[in-house]
Amino acid sequence: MTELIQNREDFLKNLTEKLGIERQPVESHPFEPMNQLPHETLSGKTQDELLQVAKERVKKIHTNIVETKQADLEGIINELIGKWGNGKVLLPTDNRFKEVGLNQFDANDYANHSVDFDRAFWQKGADYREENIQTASEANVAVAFAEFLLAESGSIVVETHAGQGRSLHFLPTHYISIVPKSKIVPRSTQAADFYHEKRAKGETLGSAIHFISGPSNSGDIEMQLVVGLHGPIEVVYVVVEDL
Amino acid sequence: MKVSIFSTCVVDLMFPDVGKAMVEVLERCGCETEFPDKQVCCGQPTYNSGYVDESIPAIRNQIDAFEGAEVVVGSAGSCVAMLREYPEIMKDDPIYYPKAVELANKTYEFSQFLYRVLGLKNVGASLDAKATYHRSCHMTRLLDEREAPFVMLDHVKGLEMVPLPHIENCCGFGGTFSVKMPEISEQMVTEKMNDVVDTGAEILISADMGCLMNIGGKLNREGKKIKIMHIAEVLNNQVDLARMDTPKINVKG
Amino acid sequence: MGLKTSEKPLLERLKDSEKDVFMQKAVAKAQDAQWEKREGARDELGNWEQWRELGEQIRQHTIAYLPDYLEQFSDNVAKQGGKVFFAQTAQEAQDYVKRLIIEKQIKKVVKSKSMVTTEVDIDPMLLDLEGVNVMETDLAEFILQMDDWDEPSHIVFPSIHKNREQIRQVFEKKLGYKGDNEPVNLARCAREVMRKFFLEADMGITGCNFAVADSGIINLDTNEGNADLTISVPKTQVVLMGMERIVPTMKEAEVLDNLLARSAVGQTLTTYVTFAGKKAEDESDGPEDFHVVILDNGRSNALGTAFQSVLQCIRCGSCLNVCPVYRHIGGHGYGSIYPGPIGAVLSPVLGGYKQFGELPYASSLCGACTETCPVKIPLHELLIEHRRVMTNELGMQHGFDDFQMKVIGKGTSTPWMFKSAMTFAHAGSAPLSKKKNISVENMYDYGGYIDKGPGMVKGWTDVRDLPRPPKGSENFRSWYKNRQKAGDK
Repeated sequence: MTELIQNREDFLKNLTEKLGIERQPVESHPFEPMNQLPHETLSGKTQDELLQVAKERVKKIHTNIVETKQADLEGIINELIGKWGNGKVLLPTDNRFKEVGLNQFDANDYANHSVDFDRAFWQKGADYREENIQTASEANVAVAFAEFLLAESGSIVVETHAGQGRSLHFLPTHYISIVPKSKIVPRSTQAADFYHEKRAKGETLGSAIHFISGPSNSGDIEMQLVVGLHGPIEVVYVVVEDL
Repeated sequence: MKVSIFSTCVVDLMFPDVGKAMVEVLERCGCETEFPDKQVCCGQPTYNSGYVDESIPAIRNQIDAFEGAEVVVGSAGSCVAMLREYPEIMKDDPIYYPKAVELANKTYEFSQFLYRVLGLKNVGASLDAKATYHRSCHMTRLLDEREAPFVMLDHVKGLEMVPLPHIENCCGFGGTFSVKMPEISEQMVTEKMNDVVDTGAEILISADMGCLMNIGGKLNREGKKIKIMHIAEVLNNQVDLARMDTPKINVKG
Repeated sequence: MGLKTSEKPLLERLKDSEKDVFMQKAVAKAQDAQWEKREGARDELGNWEQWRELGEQIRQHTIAYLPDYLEQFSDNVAKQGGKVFFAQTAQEAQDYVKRLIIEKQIKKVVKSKSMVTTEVDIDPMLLDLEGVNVMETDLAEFILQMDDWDEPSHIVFPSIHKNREQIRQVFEKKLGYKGDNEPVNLARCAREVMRKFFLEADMGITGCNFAVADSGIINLDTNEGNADLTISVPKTQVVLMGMERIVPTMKEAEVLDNLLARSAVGQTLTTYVTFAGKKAEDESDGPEDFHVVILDNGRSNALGTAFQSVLQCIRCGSCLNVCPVYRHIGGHGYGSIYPGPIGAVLSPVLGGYKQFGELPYASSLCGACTETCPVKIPLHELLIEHRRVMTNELGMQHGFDDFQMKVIGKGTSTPWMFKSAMTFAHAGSAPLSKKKNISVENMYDYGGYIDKGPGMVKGWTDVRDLPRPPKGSENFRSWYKNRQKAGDK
């Protein structure tokens, strides 16, 4: 471990001297927030009310929410992809596709279901690094599941795993996020709590967690908003009512 | 109620009419007044320039001047805010700290005193004119008084108030800043002047003569026609006693 | 460039700023637009004051136990196989990155916006390395790079001083761009150029909004998506962070992300809020080789002093966006990569009074910065504190004549001196006073005005007229005394 951390002791010694304190384990001074505002904000709302909040918010971040039932999910997604001109569609290797009946996106079963676009899967394992990044950069569309939808900010939350890398969310030109309605939470607080507790329980987290609020954008030229910069140019959240 | 007048040095030295107006309004509202002659300056010019040690005698003098006063009413939001800062500045002085706390707790800006202590909104004044109000930074942010002058002006008969654009921005006075950094101050006061002119107001009102001396000085330099009035002068204009509110507290008591 | 962006003295920089009419208009427009967005976003959240208190509490707590959290954080980075380098100085940080590039034979470096990399002068070092290409990938920083590395002028909107036509010309000259000056078309051009470079990059350099101590991960807040590509595509990632940029857990980071987005750009959250570290074994993208450089570079000067609270800063830039001085002199006027009120407080802490001693005086102390700060740094009070240290502790003379200030100190504390000064003021000002051409009513009623004053008064009268003071017998206290004597009351 020592070679992984360099110059630490002198550096910290200077700080403790200037602060006039002794070093102690962080457990001896846990942070106790003075108020519970993050948890109180938008609390006590039903899933329908939260969805309403999210729908209002996404108008301001140039994103569409499409509501559907599980039975119509496949049709809705195919229609969106078609509207964007089909082409290459990047998919995570994710069992949830099969669970919700999207067999056409299941890495083991997709070949049995024909569609109007090319499908490519994010391959598991470090050996596929270059291939996955290359595929993502060529993809017209990516489709992935959201872990949460944060109502207040209209953000989806995604976590990396072997079958779903980081650049899957950023390199493709268009992006569809599938959001089970049950996964709408009031705000970023609940997502942060979820991952905090997951870590506290000793479970492994993906190496990257992203809260994404619509398409990439920039106000750097005369503060005029440009939608679509490095990341996706267009983003749609498909909220599935019965999931 | 006996009010000790805190004239502020700018009013004492440059604008006696503002002090007179303040005294007349307060007395009309039933207050008795006194002027502690020992008072000089709140100490901001030196304190804000970093000459903190040199400002301590001025602060002590001011605390002494108002010792024993029942309530202190000042003519400028900025200077009153400074008196409210005294406890923090004097926190290590065992003799003056308690006195500083006492002074801070009994000191008010003029319009704030009328509105919050006496509970008045209408003091019977009238003024037939279109006017705009410059909100001084220290009165707003340090004294945290964002309401009193606006309410008082709203009740002046005949007065049409037009909002000043960029009301949140400093006029560029900043005490010694105006003489030490004229290059920056000039650009700030120029924008403020243009905003004032754009309102089409005939009168520019404020509760801080420092700001008015700055903006007015620029308006005069550029030959712009306007009248400058301190809020006390407005509230002392053509008073109709019949229209006056009754103070909520017994000022004679 | 480093911390200091200009060798010119303050007065010269101010003159440059005054001439730059486009910059002034752009900044004023930006400030006005941001005012509405920011206040709207804060109002919408509700209880803004209590949110600020929570933000302040988080930052104060972390700074108070900074060594403990840095220890925990670095342990957690190392547990994942990442490397942490503690750098006392900018040079040490720069050298570390340089060694790494040479060792790993890096060819293409992508950078996402980071004030700290500018502070430690990473770019000139990279440009000097043969065979190494670098690209700034934040659109504004990219524009500055294309314009021969022009200096940033705002910590959130670095190219705020440039208009679309200037940018179009730069793109035409440097990138062969043939389109019009519509921002969306300029941005698409930049996207294409940068995307190609991204896919070939073998090192990514990022800053850090917050480092999460209990998990050894980095929290980045951006809108463009460049930071996310920087932490996804290259095999090596270097994070450069100021040592204070730390929070205990993701929960506190989340609170600050909210305060930051609303304060910086009036958004609920920035488009991308990312928590990431070294890639996991079974994952395929993200950095295989992950380095964090933790920088002091003068920050520790603030610890244990009145300036400790400046380390609470979350770099939202809202103090710049409300500052009436910044509004007129712009970022370049400050001569530091950290401009505005926060820069006027922070730059002397990092770089000393010799380089930045004038900045604390470039403020009218209006307090707009203190009022807007989402983590409650008492910025205008710290400006006074800098002035106090320079005068009372270090005895540095400052422009304003030391002697005169001391005379004022005496005069304002001694009634008889004050009174005699007042008596002389009227008489003494007689030869200077004018009564003609008075356009402002109710201001010059005691003998006109002065338009060319001597000494200290000159700074005033260079800009605006000064009322001639009344005679001693006409001043307020005389009036009050006479009225009492006359038994009027």
